Amino acid sequence: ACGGGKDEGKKESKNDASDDGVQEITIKLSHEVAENTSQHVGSIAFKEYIENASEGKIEVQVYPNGQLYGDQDVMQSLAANNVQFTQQDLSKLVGDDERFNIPSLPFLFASDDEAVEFWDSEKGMEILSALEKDGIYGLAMWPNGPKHFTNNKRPLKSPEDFKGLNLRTQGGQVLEDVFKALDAGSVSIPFTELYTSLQQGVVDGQTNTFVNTESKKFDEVQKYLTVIGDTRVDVGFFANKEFMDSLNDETKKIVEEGIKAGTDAAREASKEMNEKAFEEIKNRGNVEVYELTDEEREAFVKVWEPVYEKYAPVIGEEYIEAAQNVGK
Amino acid sequence: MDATIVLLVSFVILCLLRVPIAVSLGLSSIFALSMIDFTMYPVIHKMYVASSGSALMAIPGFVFAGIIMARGGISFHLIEAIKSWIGHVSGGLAIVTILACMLFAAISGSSPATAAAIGGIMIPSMVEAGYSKRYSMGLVAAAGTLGILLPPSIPLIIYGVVSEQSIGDLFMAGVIPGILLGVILIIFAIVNARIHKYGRLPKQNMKERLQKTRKALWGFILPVLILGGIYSGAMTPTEASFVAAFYAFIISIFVYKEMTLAVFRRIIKESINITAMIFLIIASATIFGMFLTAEQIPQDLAHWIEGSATSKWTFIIGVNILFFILGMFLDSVSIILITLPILLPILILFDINLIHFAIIMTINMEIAMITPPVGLNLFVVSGISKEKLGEVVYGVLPFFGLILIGLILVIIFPQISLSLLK
Amino acid sequence: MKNKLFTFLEGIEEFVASFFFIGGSIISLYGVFMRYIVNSPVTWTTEIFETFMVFAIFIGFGMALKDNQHIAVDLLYEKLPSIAKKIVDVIANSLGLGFSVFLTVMGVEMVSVAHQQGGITIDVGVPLWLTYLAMPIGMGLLSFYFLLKLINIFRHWNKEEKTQETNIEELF
Ligand code: NA
Ligand code: NA
Repeated sequence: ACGGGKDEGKKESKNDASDDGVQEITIKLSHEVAENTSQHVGSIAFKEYIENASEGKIEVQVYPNGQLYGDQDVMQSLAANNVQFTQQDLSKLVGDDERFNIPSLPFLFASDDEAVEFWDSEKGMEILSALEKDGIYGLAMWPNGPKHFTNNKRPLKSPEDFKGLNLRTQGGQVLEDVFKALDAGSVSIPFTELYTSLQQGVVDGQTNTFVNTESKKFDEVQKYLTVIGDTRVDVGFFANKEFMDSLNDETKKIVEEGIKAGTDAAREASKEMNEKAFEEIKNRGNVEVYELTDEEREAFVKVWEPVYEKYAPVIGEEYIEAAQNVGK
Repeated sequence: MDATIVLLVSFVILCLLRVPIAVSLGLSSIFALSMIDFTMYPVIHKMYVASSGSALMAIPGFVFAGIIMARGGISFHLIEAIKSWIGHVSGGLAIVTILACMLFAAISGSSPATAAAIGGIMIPSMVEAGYSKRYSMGLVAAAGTLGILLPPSIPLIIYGVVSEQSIGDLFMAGVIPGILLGVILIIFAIVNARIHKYGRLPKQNMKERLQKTRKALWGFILPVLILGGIYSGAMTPTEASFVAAFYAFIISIFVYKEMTLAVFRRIIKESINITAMIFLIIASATIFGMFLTAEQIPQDLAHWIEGSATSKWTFIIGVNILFFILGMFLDSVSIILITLPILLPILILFDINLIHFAIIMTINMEIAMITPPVGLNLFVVSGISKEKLGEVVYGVLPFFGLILIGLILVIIFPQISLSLLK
Repeated sequence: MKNKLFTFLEGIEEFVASFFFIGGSIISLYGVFMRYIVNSPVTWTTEIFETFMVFAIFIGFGMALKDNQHIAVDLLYEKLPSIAKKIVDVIANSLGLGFSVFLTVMGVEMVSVAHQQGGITIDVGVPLWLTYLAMPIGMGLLSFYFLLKLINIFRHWNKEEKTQETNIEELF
């Protein structure tokens, strides 16, 4: 293991950016999730593509599990070029730009494909580019998938069933309002305390993708799962601007193709893994699974109308409209 | 590799120059990180993030509660009552300390919180009953580590997520090894007390005992309140720490009437000081760990063991040595996150039960809490008892050996961890 | 003899740190109360509780140094002759000063970058730069006390007895 790669890269590119040949550089990619996730699959595809295509001239070091940086400091480190690539949960960027609230709007997208199509569109890319002023390129959206409620009190079939439940939220004002519209309380609990908090009933339930609920074993301490897919977890793939701009054409081409390879792999893996996780949850049989019917879903759509009224102006009507028009 | 040498050498030199450990860790990491061209500002940002994390916030609460109890009369009456019952039994107070640590461990997922909450009360009382201070501090630092073996346990939760094992099963698996370690400590405490004639106070009559117990009743309610509060789902461990502090505060004012403004002021100041000392070390230790991770040192070591292990037993020995070395410097969550994914394939290859291995790993993480230079329990105990770090390290040495015996037993007999599982 | 100005400054520092520590504790209790007793949880408590604790703790870095609470290794130091002890003290405190000044500067940068970027916290919407202020303030105070210790060593250079443990307020 040797450091200093990125700086050598910088210098090199200043001197011989016009030169042919792939630059010898080391790329650090840091993300905060486990190795059994679609994000990691994408990261590895990115690494393998680039290392192969550059014939080993470019080394890509992947640091999963937040072992190098966590969600609270990775963007700063990306901006400073201590890492060159990262993925970040879009809903954690709402403090930088309200438009990142899009995944938290209930039923905005009917599937992963629709979400992907929106974020690939002009409007979506416009939002992803919001961090360019801080020296960060937004490259692509990697879906983690739709979220589904689990809880310990009762099967949740209608908005009324949510009344009085205390649900864990991962933060953000939109999500708080989403819960409030159901008369449910939102409690913020750090991940390390969540499993025991669910077990002991500090909170009644939580909402997560199948993969998260399965891999973090929340079904072990929950009784009911409602398949609803109202809000989503989507992450952005980001790169340091200064690093990207320092690449010569040949190197840049490889990196950009790597980005595409990683993105394709991550998107594919996300779908597969959620399906597999759902099967696994059903096999384990810890939770009673309930899938909402279309009519039951309609009742939720109605209840959440005020959330749209409140946040459409904040996020920007044109983005919501564009999102709604996807797939139609 | 050069930067790693700079890191370790400068750290040792700084420590020998009596630079505070937190500063030694931070400065040597800054030297080393700048050698590998890290931009410093986000590194410092990480220090800030590391010392403001929600997982740590039970520490100030339990330090606070412990100091209120110590200064506001609760501890005094609790100790008087316990002494009246078993003060004449050689080793009695040491046993109570161990049991208190186990009880507290069962409610908190964190070892330093356990050491803070119990140490504040039991170290002074053991010293008063004639135990050596070194021994008392070592006992609390060691017994406090049970916080992560007896459920709930933050490291076991992380292990379950990374290795895809049931967290419920992991918690169950920790119970008997936790009790086993407790029993080993208790046996040692009895033998040791007999040898050194520790803790033989005059025997008290029943009337005195009942009187003192009645006086201490409010103190005895406290663990019930915390345990009940957490198990009934009323509060998280972090919240429970502040509820405990609040309860102790109220009792000190209205029951024991020992809380004056001056006393309270001193309590707050002490709580802030000790918490700050611990958190500055955590902040610096984080960037120390970040350097090692960025240079892929733990990864390389784990890969090396993966590659050189020829049999199940050489692998187990190698892996325990790996955990020991990493445990000197890194925190348990980082060690699990970094090494476990690398070790998993070989665990499966050698057909080692992943739940059994979780307990082996967790006992190693307990040892990491009491090995210098970065051992949070050592710092907590040194802080609350206002003794030099060296004294605590001397005190903890025999217990280190005892935990090692427990570890070996658990390794040789997987049934110890697995028998409670179906 | 304690100087009035020092007592005053010390008082402010202790008051502010205590305010955050007690305030944070109360907010945590309020969170339990609203969720468990009233069954109407409030989302903002966790974030504000943590911010308050962080301010108390960061201000505490300096207080802990003043009260000699930061743990150091005495192994070699105790065996040194008095003059060598003084030299080691000078080096150690200079290094401490360098470290804390560096972190103060970095902290200022942290705050100014966060200010430029205009980020806010997720739950409550507090500007991030405001929460980051704990870093330069805490490290600034730590620098201040390292500096005072350093000055103190020189002032007491010819006295045999105490070096490191001299009370800082004697300076004023
Ligand atoms: Na525990
Ligand atoms: Na250690």
